[in-house]
Amino acid sequence: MLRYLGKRFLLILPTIFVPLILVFLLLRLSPGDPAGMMLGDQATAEQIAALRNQLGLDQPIWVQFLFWIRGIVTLDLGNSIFFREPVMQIIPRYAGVTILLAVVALALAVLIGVTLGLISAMNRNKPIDRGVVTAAVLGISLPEFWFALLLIFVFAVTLRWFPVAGYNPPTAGLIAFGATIFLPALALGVRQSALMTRMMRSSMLDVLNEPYITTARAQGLPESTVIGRYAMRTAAMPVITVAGLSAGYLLGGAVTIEIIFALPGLGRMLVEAVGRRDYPLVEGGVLAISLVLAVLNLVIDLIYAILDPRIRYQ
Amino acid sequence: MTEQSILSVTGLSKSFRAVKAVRDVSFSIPRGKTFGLVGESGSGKSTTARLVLRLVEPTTGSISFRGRDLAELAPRALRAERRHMQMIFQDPFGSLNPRMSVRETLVEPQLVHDIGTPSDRLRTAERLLAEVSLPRAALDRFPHEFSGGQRQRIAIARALATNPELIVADEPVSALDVSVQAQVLNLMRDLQDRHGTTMLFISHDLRVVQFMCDEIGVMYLGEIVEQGPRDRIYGAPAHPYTQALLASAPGKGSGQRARLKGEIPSAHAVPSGCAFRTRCPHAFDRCVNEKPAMRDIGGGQKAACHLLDKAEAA
Repeated sequence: MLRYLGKRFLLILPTIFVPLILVFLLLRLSPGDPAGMMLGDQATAEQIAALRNQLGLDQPIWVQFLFWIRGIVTLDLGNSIFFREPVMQIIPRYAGVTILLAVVALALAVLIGVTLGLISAMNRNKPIDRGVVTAAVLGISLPEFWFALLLIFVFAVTLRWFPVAGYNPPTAGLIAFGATIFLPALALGVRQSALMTRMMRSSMLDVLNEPYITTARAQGLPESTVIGRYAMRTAAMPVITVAGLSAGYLLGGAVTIEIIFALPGLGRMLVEAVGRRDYPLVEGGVLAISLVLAVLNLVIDLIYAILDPRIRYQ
Repeated sequence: MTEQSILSVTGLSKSFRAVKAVRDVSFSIPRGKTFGLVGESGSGKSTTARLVLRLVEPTTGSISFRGRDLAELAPRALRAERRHMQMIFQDPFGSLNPRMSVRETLVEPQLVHDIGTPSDRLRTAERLLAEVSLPRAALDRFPHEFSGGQRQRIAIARALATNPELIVADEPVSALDVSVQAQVLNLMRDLQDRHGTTMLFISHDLRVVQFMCDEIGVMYLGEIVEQGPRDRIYGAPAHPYTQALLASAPGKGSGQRARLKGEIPSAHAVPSGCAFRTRCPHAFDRCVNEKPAMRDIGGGQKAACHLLDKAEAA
């Protein structure tokens, strides 16, 4: 198990570095000059050149790359060109919101998906099953920004149960935090919950056909144990895979939702930073997201290994 | 019926909508004996096995086991009764829960029926492993670490864990290599002798059935067409289907090629009169119109064929 863990840790490194190199290159190869943007229309060529020199942008690209690598290793990602403060201080401020949003969205998605999938599988081809399957197809097809607006209209504008937009950190109290995070999380998680519903339904139906489920019944196990202990544990595997993929999507795809609900998250910060050609901040943001994703994948692999002994010994 | 039979099935039928999978099957098994069901795929053998254990609900018929009618038992009483009847499946890759170690697999049936103390259960598990000639070290391993034959031995050990009076074995060796088959069959016979277990043994392999069974029922399209003691069935088969089956067994002299033509008809559209008439080399008018009744032909042998009337009349 320890060896397996170590191997998984080593595999994280390329997962983080490949997107970083891509972002580094893309930013520098795309048109637009941060020095020019920062100084405005009135700046002279000398002023721009001086700022470029100060930011190191006049160095050859590979020198810039080496500087930047050194920065990562020493945990110094430089200063944001726009905010003029260290990137390492800015990122955590925004990342917290995004991670919380993703976690709540994922929790909602798993809760809804597993429950509906289970109900559906246990009532195969009955009206309730058809209803769930139809709802799932709808959930997958709905664009999330539309669903977000619908939620705002119904629950915030008409029923006034939740605020329309804005954000309270968890330190402001659980209820205040919950009120601002619930609608965005639901809007963000609806597609994932629909995917998980379908996944859970089909994997549950597969497992229920396995001979060892028949054996369990033949042994005289009560049906609740057969479903709960035998079937669900196996059926959960594909759902965990989907949850892992979802987590990545939720972290990276929260941009629209963060903008609609005016949440100060990493996605919104990144979009703005790209617009300002704020190289250090964009790189720092991507680093943060890929780090979180890589760790998340590791966690999911570990959950796999715990649930399925076959993986551990390979 | 004769002596004291532990299992006695009367008029057992099962329809899945229009498909008559099992039709009016009756047989009984004396304590400690083995009854074999043979027939081609699709003849209803496996469904009969599942009906006997009431893993599938019978449409009509009664299953008298240990003096009680299983078909009438309430779910709770049925679950308790399962302690006395266990099953061995064809597929040793599917019938063991991949997420349970051998220890858990062997302890679970005892746990379900609340047999012994935890240390008793573990001792039983160790004894069972020894009985199926697996090392004690196997306890902490998982099904995927074993070969097919070893897995089937684990499945046998599990079936014995509650010390059942009846074991239903559905094609227990068909998925195994021939060399391993003999080993597993010998093991099953030894264990049966030692524990005095009664067995319902299902196979399409005539040699396997001849080796294992005291009494044999030949099934065709959901019905038993002939049944009797092993030596009578193999020595003097009365029904044309049994004769054809025996003649088509490999290694029975190259001059006599398979006499059975075509495929078994669909259970959707069972032929009128005698179900076997479409493939019978001796079929005549009466077979189309009239369903042959089961006739006693002496020595405990019974068969359902109009030819037997003819022979008697002549």
